[in-house]
Amino acid sequence: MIRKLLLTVFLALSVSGLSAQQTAEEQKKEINRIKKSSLYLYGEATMPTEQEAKDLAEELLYADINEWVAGQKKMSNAPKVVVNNTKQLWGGVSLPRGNMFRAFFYVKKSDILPVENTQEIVPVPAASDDEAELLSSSSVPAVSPVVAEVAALKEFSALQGCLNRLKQEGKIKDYNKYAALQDADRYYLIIYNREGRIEAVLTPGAGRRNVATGRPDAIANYAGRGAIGFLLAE
Amino acid sequence: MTNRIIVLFFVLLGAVAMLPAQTVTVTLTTDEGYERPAAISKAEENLSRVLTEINAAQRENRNLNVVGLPMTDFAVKSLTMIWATVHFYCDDEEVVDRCWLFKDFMEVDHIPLIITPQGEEFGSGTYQEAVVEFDKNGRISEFRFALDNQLRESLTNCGAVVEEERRMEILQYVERFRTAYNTKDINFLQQVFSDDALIITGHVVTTKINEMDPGGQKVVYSKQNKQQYIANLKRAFARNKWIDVKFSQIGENGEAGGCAGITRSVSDPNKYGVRLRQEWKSSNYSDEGYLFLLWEFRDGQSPVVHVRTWQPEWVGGEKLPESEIFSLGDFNL
Repeated sequence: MIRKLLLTVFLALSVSGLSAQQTAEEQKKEINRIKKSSLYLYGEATMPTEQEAKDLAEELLYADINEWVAGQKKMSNAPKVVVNNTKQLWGGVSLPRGNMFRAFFYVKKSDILPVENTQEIVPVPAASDDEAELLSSSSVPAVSPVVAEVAALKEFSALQGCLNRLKQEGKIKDYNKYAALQDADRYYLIIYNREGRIEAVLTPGAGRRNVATGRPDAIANYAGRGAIGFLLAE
Repeated sequence: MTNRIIVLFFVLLGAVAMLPAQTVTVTLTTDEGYERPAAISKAEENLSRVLTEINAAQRENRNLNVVGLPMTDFAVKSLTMIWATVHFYCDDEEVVDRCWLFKDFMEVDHIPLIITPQGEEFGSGTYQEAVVEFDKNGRISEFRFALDNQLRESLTNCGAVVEEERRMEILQYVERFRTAYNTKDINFLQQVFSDDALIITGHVVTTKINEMDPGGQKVVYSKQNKQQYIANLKRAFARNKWIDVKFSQIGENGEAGGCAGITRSVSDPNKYGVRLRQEWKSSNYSDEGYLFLLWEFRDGQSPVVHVRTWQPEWVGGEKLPESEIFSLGDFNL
């Protein structure tokens, strides 16, 4: 009787182990299908905790989306892009990665849409005393009309169209991703976040300034952001 | 009789389900807009062969059979050194990974491995990714352990002051540096430290209570030159069966340093500071602390480490303040 019971338990465990593995294998296959397809963008991370894996995978997906959007001409004139149907496919225990967790986020490229005619209400924070003094003293250095035009942009998706046009008009000599710049100190830098919002434009040089505030600023103040550099025509 | 056959079938099925994958297929993808070089297909085939051999060797508990494997001598040496220290297998039957294209080589960063220590716990965990490099013909030119996902991402995208190609080079050497401790590669460590290297190590000491001194803990720093450090390291390698060194970021986004785990010297642009958190676990010892490495990269030459500092993470029950962690600015270049 005990032998039969032990055998039953062993068989049950073998089958359930096999079932669990099949589920994990099915999920792995689905992840691989998406990774191989050119229809998707994805972010993937394996970290000691679930939350760390999810946070990093999401960050990587956003970085991928921003890079892809920048390269898409049809997005360049849209004031905004919207990402629909962001999905999450991860398994925790059911998608074993040794003693860690694997997170996988993906989005279909066709779900990234240019959005027209939207209006976003952004509450303007009350100026601090320092900022109020700075504004009233008009100590913000004057910038060229080209730099002012770029600095007025709010969305990353509008950048490529603007920079392309300025280059064709001969107003800027060059623009590129920060990582691709040969001599970054010569370039103005446009700082944007992973939501596609432009956060700052910095002047060239070793000691950069924020174009909007005139105050000293640096790339190091924008951890986790991306940057595009542009060079004014002389 | 029928019952026995059914039972035997399920027993075998259960046993097979537990075995690591035997054959590994590899698909390497490239980003949209990049021309896919013909060598990638060769790289896929070659990596598949190597991972399949790794899995077979792990299953059969034997040495790797490197004869005929499509690898350079350096890659064979890297892989066999790792294998001599610890066995592992590829966790996926099908590996799909992005292939990064550089001027003279290609790289894949997230080969999923499961470490299978023999008879002992191995360091911080059993999951470990590998980085594999290929030459222009798709032949494997290097096999090394990767840094963790978050640190890799941080160092790769740390666009503050360092150009992309140099960042990738720094990342490559930090990974090799870490792998060298795990594989007890004393030869690599002897080469990578400059002859005039300065090694500073902090130790926590407890001061005695008297009228003048309320007591407590503080960090005392000792200096070693390269010869002293390498001699001590040889002794550590000899007395520990295994060593697992892990690097990670210092704090969330590197605390005040942002993603600037790498900083570049203004006075000497060939010199770079790299700040990391290090976990050291070995058979006989473990600690956690902050590592600072001063690297010099010159075109056409192998990079060297001029300064290595280590500080304990915890002193007197509190984390070492960020302002006290060594950085580039602490050294007169």
